Amino acid sequence: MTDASPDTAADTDAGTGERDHDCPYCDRVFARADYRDLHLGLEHENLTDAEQAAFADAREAEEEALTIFRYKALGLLVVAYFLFLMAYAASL
Amino acid sequence: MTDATRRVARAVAALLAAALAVSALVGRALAHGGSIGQSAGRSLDVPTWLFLSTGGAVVGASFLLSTFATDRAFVSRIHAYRRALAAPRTDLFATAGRAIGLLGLATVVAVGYLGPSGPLQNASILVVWGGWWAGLAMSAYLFGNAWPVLDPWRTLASALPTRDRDPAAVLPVSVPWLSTVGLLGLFWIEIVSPLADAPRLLATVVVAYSVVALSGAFLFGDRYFEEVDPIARVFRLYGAVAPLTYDDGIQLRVPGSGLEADILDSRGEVAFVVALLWGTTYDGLVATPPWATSARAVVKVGVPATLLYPVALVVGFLAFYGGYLLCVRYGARFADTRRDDAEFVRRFAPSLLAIAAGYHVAHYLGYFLTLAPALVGALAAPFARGSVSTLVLPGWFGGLSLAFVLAGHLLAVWVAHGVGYELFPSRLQAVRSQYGLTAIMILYTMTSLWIVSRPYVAPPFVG
Repeated sequence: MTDASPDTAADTDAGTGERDHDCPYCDRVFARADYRDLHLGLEHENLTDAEQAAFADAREAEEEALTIFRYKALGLLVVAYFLFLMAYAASL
Repeated sequence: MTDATRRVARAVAALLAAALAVSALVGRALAHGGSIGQSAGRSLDVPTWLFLSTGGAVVGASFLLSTFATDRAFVSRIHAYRRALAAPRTDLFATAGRAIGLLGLATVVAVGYLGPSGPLQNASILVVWGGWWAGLAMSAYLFGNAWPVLDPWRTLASALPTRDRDPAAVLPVSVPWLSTVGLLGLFWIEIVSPLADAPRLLATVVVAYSVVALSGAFLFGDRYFEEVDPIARVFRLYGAVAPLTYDDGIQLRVPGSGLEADILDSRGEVAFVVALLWGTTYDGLVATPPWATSARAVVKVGVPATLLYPVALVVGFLAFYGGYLLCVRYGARFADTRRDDAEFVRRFAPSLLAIAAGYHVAHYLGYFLTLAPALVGALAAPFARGSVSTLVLPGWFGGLSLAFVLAGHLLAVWVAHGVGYELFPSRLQAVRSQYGLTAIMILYTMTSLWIVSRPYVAPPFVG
């Protein structure tokens, strides 16, 4: 690892006290380290092994979060469908 | 990968099926009410609030369904799809197009002054409102933007000398904002003046517009049409929705995929998009019975009628624009990002063009088809005062307007999905960034469904 390591590239935003995560290869800044890791894997090539591993981890976590989100969205759709069915039944 | 693609394809198929099912439900509910926008005193089996919320829910549900399309490669493949079309002798078509444009302008002016005074007999009225503002504008987003070729002022200006100045350097105000004000002004003139009934007046307005356009082109050259002229801008933006693009030869693309690109340069251009959306909405709003009632009430209180329309136009625009800014900025908070708010405002605004196109087609397709036979008749014999034939549309045609409004919104949701994926590394971030946008889209949908489902009454105090 060189000084371009993602973890040393984090600094503090004076205004909010939140940490920023810079991309070592471009000028994008991210609110979370996993967003930065995903960005590296999607936008840049020739990553270091550590960056590759971080991307794989972030990708896996993203997939899991997406799965949970899909269930929530599906649940919401079913609830909306149910409510509309009731509303139509009541208004006819 | 193929498995994932198949999964996504299934999700998209489910999205379409669900959207169709719900919009069929809306269509049927309305069909009960008889012909929309034509017969007053109809009764709905379904209460208005339920009809409107169903319309809003279709947009919300399609947003949720679009989040199931999580394969980045699939999303970007759809948006980036281009297919070159062989186009023989485009130079010949361009020359013919320029000639048609010039001929059209000459016809509008000559027949406007010299032709019959009945609006449905006069070719200038029919060419401008039926052929150009309804027909050509529809062709711009349904097929592709032909206006740069047809634009008679551009053709004339190319033969005249120009000083080729930079509008931004010469004009004391922001050029896109000037264009936005110009567009709102055109909507105002269109609504309050009897331009659709008085051929002489229409010809005079066209001559005045020609003077403005040619002076602008003398000062700024082609940049007048690219940056200042509101009409050229409207057609260019509508053209971004279209499946055909002329950037690099003629190419076929998925409709709406042109909106995913970063096509707006500044806040003023975003305002222009919102003004286009609002202007089309306002055009419908002033022809509803509740508007007529409240306009009469306001005028009775002592507000001058001449002030009412421009003030309502500006207030409505500010409400649409403010609502958009507020929702997109507030929505950006959910995305937990360090990107600039201004970037979201710019990148998500083109999706509104799909909505504007949906409103436009809902508003004008019936109008265009009704007038098409009269237009052909008037063009065949511009100075004859014969009988006028118009097309009588079947009652179910009004239901199509609702389908067009919803279709525009569904396309906008899909465009915003693609933009979100392009802006954010995390797909959940992309989804969350659209919460605010989806909220304002639901509001726009409900507003326009309400307008489209009202019976038509002539706006009071105009003409």
